[in-house]
Amino acid sequence: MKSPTLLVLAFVFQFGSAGTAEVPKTNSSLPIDPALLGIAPYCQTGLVMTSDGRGSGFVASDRKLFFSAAHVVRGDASWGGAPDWYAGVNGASTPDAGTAVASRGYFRWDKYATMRSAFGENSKQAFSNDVILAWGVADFIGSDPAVIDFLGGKRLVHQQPCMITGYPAVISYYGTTDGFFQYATTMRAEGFKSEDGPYVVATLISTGPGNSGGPVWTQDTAGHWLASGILVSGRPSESGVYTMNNTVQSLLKAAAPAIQNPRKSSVFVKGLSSTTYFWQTTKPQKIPDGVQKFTVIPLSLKRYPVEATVSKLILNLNISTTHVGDLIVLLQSPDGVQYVLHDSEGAGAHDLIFTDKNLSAEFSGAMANGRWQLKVQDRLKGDLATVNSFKLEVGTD
Amino acid sequence: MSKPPRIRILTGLLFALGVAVWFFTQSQKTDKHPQAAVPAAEHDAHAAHLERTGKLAEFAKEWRATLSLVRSHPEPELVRARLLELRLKWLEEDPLVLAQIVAFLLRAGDDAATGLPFEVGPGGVLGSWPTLRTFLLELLACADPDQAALTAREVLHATRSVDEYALALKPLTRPGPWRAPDAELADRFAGMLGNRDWQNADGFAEALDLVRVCHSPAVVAALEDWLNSGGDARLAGMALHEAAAEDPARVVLPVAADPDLLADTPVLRAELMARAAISDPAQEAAVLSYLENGSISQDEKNRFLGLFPLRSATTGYRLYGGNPAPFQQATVAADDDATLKIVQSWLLDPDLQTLQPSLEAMETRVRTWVNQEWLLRDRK
Repeated sequence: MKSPTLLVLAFVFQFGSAGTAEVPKTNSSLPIDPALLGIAPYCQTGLVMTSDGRGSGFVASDRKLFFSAAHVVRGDASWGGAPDWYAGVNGASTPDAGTAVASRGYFRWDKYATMRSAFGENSKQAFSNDVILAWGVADFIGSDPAVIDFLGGKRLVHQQPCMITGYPAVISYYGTTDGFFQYATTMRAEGFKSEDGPYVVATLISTGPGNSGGPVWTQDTAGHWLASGILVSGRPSESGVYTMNNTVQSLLKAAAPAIQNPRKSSVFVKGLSSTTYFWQTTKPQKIPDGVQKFTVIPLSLKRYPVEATVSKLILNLNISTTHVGDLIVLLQSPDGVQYVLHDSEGAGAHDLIFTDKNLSAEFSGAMANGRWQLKVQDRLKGDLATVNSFKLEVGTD
Repeated sequence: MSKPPRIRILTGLLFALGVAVWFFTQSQKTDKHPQAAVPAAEHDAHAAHLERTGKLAEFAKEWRATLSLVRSHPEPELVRARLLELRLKWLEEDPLVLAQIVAFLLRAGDDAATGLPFEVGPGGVLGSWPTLRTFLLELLACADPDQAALTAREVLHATRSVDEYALALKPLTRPGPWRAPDAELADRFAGMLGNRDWQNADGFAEALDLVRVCHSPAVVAALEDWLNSGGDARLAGMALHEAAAEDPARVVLPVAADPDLLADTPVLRAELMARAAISDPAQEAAVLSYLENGSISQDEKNRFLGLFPLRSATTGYRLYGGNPAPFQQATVAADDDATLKIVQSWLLDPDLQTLQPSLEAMETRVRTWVNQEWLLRDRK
């Protein structure tokens, strides 16, 4: 009987018949030099163990967060236990359970189970939602987490050189890896093609079962490693990847209060917003007193590429009043994404002021160019309100 | 030079007549939607206001062009692009004018299928609209909230489409004085569940998210009744899980109080009970009564103990409210502390001896988390 810890998540990977001696024509995973285990991006890659089997993952955005594939943890609509993380593993024997860092839980897309149920576990619709973000109380690694490349899909489809790391149990063409060794493909440009949403596939690159959830790395112009995708499917000479994109910010936002991220509910990964501008109103605007209708204070943003979406949004707002409880204030993007900044709270307190309020997660994916609207109502009579300044810092990838 | 007053009045009357004729002719077409009864005086007042601003003609012209385009059955992506363009333009309008015009167009009843799916995108905004009326209803949620709530209730009263129903609930869930009372939302939710013709639509699945944002116990009860009467277990389970992740007591207490509830879906019941927050004495008692209930199988209890306290969740774009982000670090830590204490007492409880292996595994798991939390506190 197989030990549960040695079961591999093979259902995603489809192999040729056993014993077939094919000559590999592919960029196939090879064991890494153990001396590399302490440096990025290898130190950010880890072994992920669940009660159902093993997979791979990587720590990104925060030391208390790691990504993996949803099918590594649980494939159907029900819930699996929180997965364990093993860092720096490189040996033939099953790692000591005492070296694991237990995660406390994980987040996944509701659509994963829906698509898997509707189209099957090996469907492109399931793979296009095949991601989890596990969160923990303790740090999963002692070094910096990986930087997420929210343009991962574009980079991979546009032939950016990439490398897949992870802990395969079996390698296509070669067979078992005889343990828990970290492997990596050779860094090179692959011909990834879009399949469905964030799911892309390339031929002539392969790893094997157990590598599911492993990161796909690219490098920026300065040579920094970027986590651009997650390996979710494969077979000999083919790999399928869930590419990082702006929707991943929803996972980060969901986990932020659980790990008590200092940015509270808004997580923004710095360094990737390629276009950032500041916009502000030039004149104070009085709000009609006791009128139950929104006064709109617009800011027209025009300098971004046509289809650019928001990856970073910082708000500064100053409204003077002697009764903030009279006010309802919301911000609306050009395509109608709304966020309520203030809803009649605060009773008779004076002045409503937001300084560097990070709304990146709330507006992630919203259209950048166009007419942004600050909407303000002073619903009760007796206290005058004036919007003294309204300033947005908007970044797009 | 300005026109003489009589000519202006005459021009205005002719224009209003033209608008009325247009609406009448449009309403005779085949893609007709049942209309809500609208008080005539209110209708006239809106017409007069919009006529004065000249906006109605402008919007009506664009709407006619869009109807013609969609009725010519172009590629769905072409429709999506046209609707997105129209949406961006109309959203620049004054919120009250936008609300009034959208209300007019909805009352006119014209509709056409777009070939696009019902798909929720960033910020809870639809990225594509299955019909032109769903496009209008989606706009309504961005328009003046007082007017939008009025129009939404008209649509909820009259519509035969669950996609429309789901979207019409949106203005009633917006934070602020416009938010409908929980009792009203619960009634409307039960009404939706009761319509058997609606249950395979995308809008129906999205509207189940109302369980998360409406805090009436009646909403959970309605969903559980629906599940017991043959409703889709996966959809109901997902909605109950999201509600329980945010506020476990809403789900855990009624499930524990009624052993027949979810008895046909033992895995779901075990997983929902595993979301209990044991630092709440009522939930602690509920969990103990669940474990001591002889009518619940050992398998189900072992499943429960294998996950408890479950702090994993689904997230993503939601039609109502923000994306789910249900766990706060301090609350999780307090629950884990309480859980460790209680599981250590359960290990000594002779009534729970048959569950000993699962209890031991659970104790090990929870102790690991509690130790991690203590180390974290020490570092602070």
